[in-house]
Amino acid sequence: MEFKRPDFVEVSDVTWDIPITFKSGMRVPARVYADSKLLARMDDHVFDQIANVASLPGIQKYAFAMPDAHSGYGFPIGGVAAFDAHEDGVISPGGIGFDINCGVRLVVTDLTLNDVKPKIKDLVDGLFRAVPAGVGSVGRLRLSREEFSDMSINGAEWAVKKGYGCKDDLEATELNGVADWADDSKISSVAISRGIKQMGTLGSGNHYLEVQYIKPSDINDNALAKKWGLFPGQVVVMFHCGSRGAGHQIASDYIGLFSKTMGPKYGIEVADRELACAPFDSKEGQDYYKAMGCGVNISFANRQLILNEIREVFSEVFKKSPEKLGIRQLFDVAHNRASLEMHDIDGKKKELLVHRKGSTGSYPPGRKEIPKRFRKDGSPVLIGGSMETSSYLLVGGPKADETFDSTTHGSGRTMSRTHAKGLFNGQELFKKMLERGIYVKSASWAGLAEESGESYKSIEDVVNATDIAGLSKKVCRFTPLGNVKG
Amino acid sequence: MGHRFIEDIAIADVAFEVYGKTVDELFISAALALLDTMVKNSEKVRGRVAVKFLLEADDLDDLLIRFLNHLVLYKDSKSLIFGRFEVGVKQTGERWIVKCVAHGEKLDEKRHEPRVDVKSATLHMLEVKKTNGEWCGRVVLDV
Repeated sequence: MEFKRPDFVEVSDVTWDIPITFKSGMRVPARVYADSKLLARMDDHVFDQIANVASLPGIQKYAFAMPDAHSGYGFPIGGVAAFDAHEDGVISPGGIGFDINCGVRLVVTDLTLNDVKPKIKDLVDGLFRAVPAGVGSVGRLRLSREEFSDMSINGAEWAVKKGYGCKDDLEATELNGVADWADDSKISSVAISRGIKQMGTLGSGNHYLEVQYIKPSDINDNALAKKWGLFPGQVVVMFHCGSRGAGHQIASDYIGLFSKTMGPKYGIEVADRELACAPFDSKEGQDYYKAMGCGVNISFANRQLILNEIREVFSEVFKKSPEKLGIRQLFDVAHNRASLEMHDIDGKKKELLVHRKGSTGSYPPGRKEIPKRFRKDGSPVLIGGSMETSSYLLVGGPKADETFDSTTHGSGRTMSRTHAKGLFNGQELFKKMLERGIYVKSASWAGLAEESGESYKSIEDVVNATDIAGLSKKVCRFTPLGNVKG
Repeated sequence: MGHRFIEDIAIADVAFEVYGKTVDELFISAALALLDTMVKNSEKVRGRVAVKFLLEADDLDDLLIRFLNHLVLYKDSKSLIFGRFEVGVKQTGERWIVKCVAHGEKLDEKRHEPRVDVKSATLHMLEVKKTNGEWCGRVVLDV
């Protein structure tokens, strides 16, 4: 296919529109948020895929690609689309991602760089032992199928009731840690089999658990940082993982079902098999929505179990209780989820199913999607960088309504894993990072090489484009100190 | 029979091409490519456990994905990886069927040296075709 970037319409320095003439079948234009440098480095499939998304029934206003967009399955990663929830809109697993509710959790401590630096090796080694990562990793928790089902209905609340956390954690989690629309009768026995041994595990690929700190010069919004309990020199923990094999199986099961039903039953044709979908108000669509709710809960519970392990490891290394170390969850955000939300369309409030795949909710002050403690400020937005670079905390921005309150989720890859493995050596990378003050413990040297910082876009470019576009505003930056990689 | 990893068609994931003189060989090549994605020392996987399964699909390419995902299921649910396969693929009416006996063992981090965890074989850029008497396929794995 020939891509016609010159046809893109420059709306601002960081906003580009792709008109509906770009590809036949587009119902709405696509909009890409990126500066010219990021746009030039985006792989061409992003534009083809976002044009395919713009062709789906019931799509509203635009199909969006965020500054970190790269090609995915069906939707690009960093793709956002909202569909009418009551008329002709669809739900598509490919617009939510296989790793349902994959997200990032930020945990703060009262510890400083000076406290942690001398113990970083013990800390990271301890975290590596406590949070299994890598191929075929198995969690410590042994669950019956009934317990797993219970967890898939009650999410992080289930974990807290079992003693793996506290109410405060739930209040600092989107949806308070529970998708209350979940129905475990809608997930397959295979999904349960795949997930039942994996709870409390990190996974592999780009999943990580990172000990970070805040440099004094890296706070952009002093007032908000202070209000949220952040200070210069502070050590925090950020981790990224999702619903593991169970979430993946849920997505695969329903892509299979939708592939068979969407054409014959609903007359829907899609440009890419991974865009298989069903009308949201159909039985198939509702079944997937309820199954996706289980995936959301499995993911929330998984991150809750990992948080519990983090508390225990810190407590063991520093010989103090988690409370005395000031360990508390600041926030937990998903970046692979569809969310039912009210938005303004042509001056009228409409209920939309907003698909965010590799995109984080970025809500302005007052939105009911924001947990109460943050509602006056806007939602915290967590953007994870590569293991060699920084990560960011932002807040819902003034122009996020353009994107149905959606924003960036990470750096976004620019190089394939196979290519990266050919260019970088895991052991050499480990040494290089150690020299720069980052101690990394990985389940695989090859996996480490694939995750080198040079395989990703510049997090600074991505976050700056996000900030300039007004999708989210910078609060502070975190610098890595130690990292557990899957 | 064999496989080759492809650069830069799946930015975030792993893609490979597989070859075989027969469809059976094509499936075995894909299973070995899956193993090579997950562990470094694939030749060290011993045949200590044998699992038998039968899968069906409407199309041959769907069957290949179902086949690979069934192996992923064993990895996730029983920590089993497989290095030797007896495979029979046939078309019956409008259905494609694969019968397989997979030989393998529990994943051993020290001996097998894990690489990257595979979450799923996907439909993305999936292709299975016969060209000049040889079967070839392209698969993208979500990792």
